Amino acid sequence: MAASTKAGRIAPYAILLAASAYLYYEALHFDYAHVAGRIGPDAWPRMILILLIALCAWQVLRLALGRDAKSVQGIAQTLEAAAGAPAEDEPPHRAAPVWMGIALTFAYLMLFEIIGFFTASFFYLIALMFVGGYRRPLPAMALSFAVCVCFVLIFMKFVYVSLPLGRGPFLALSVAVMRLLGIH
Amino acid sequence: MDTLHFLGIGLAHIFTQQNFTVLVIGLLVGMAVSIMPGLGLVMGVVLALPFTYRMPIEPSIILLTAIYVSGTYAGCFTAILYRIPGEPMDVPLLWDGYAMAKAGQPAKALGWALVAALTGGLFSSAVMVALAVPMSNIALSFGPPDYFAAVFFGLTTVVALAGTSLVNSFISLFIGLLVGTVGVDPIYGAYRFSFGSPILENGVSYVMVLVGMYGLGEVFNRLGQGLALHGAPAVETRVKTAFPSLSELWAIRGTFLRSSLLGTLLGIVPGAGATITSFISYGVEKQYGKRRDRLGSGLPEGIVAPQVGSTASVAGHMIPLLTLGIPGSGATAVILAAFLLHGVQPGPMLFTDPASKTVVYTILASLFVGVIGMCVLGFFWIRVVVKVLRIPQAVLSAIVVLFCIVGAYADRNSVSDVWIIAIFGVLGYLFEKLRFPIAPMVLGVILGPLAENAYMQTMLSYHNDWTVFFREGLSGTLMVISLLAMCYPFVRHQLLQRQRARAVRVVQR
Repeated sequence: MAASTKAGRIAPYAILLAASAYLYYEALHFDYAHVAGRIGPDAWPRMILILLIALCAWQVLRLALGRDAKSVQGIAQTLEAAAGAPAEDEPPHRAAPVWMGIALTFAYLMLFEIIGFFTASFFYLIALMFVGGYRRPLPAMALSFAVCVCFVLIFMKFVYVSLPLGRGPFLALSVAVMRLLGIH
Repeated sequence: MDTLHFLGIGLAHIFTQQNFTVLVIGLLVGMAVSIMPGLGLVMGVVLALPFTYRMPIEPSIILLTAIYVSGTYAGCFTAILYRIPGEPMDVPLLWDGYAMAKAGQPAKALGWALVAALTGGLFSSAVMVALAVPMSNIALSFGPPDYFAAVFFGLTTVVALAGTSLVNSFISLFIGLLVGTVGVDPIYGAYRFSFGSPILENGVSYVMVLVGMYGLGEVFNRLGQGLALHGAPAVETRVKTAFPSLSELWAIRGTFLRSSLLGTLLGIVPGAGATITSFISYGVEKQYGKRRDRLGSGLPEGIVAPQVGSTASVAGHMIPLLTLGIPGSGATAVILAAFLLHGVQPGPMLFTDPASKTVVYTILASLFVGVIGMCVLGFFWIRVVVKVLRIPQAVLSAIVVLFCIVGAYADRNSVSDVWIIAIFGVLGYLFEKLRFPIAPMVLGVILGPLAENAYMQTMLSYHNDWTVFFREGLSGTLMVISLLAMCYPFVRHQLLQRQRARAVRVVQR
């Protein structure tokens, strides 16, 4: 258990270390016309990457050696502790709703242009409210509908943003909604 | 005299129908977002940005600034009355504000907070008006090394100030700086880290990073917490605000003065946001205040110090933005974006042309009117605004997500921008989960391109001689202060470790 916790704490830094090393390699191969005696467009990112690699490597080493108990804190944190801030209770965290919310958002973005803003947003809002723990179907549907109408009205009629209308039957639906709202 | 003349013109501009309407709307929106846990003033400013696309520049900036300023105040109501901090900056108000309310004086606690916000806001606005022209004159003499040093100072202070782990803060900052390098390099025109993708070739707009990390990321994070508002209160509608007497105010004049100066000064430092200012003001009161040993038991000093500090920081933040074009916080970065969207580059040149000078002074005047307006609204209407707490969090979060998505899309009518915010939303959630602070990363994305530009110009002008940053007077001073700020937490950590070890040895003997 302890080993898996340790590995779990090292993992983010190790992943960052590997990614930084790869990006450093990429930075070495930027395509530009080199001028002798002048630093190129790779200088700044390489400098950052070297610092990032060094920090990640140090952190991986520190954690691997079990020396993570007392990390250096920022000044505000120190002052907060000095001010006698009582430790706040961490709310319980469940990963499943988060990843469901993320998956929903990605699905929504994929369908955004195909089924149109109005239809996609209507279903997305209902689903997101459900994932967030709002389990009253009728009010959720009514709220979603009202919010979508408001967004279409505000952004298409007043802010002049051309939100996606969708394709095929969804295009006809979006156009009908727009006509109802007086958007031409 | 010239300053007062332009300030007068600015005040007259504020009271035009459009400007005054957006000011009031901004104040109300700022209050609403700062009251609701999970939303914040940065998110409020970000979400309001799309509405400014079709507005002229004056009302656009007035709207965003009004949200920013009232966002530092309204959270005190939920903190004092219900022990719910709407924003992290309101946490210090829980200790004395809630204690005073619990002791039967909620109206008095609200009164102290109102007077504190008014004092801090007006004091720092006055300082800002006085400093704007001298600062812009200094800024005109800035060369690339000075400019780099100023940005470097902001980057190091945000790391030194924020976070539970300094290593994580640095990593967060470096990731942000790296994100800022994606796209076409401004000097050579070379593609960097674009991997052949047209989306990445355009670079990553910091507004999208802000929307993703602060908007979507926060909603994802709250989904994991069940979107429950633990102990959601039955909204109290009877409590009124009771002002402290003049003698009570005079008794803690030191606290008012200390916190006003501290808030304004820290506000000028890029990176030290309202939250940090609020904590530091409280911390200073705890260390140097007359009744420091009783702080936390419901003293007015414990309400005044953080509230003055956080409200005073707003005007302070506007100084580097307007005079140097350097945004010192997430909210000022969005205000910078609004300037740029209207084709105006903030900086010392704004103070040279009468037309742009009028715009600047209208914005400055809007701060004075905004501070007074938020206090008036707070006094009369806060009982109505507090009712936003009744909106179910799941519903609110869904609406926020939709605002984020439409806002990102509206910028360029591009779905790729929406994908970018979704990716940064996931990153924001991971940052929260892995305890990497978000502020350094966001500031890295915002200030990184400015820092790189100044660094490259210096290197090209001074033949790759990096010692120039330390040899020139202004840049040298700023670089030394930055390095000291970076070293201070390490030195303090070492000293504390030694003290602890010594104490353990004494106990063992």
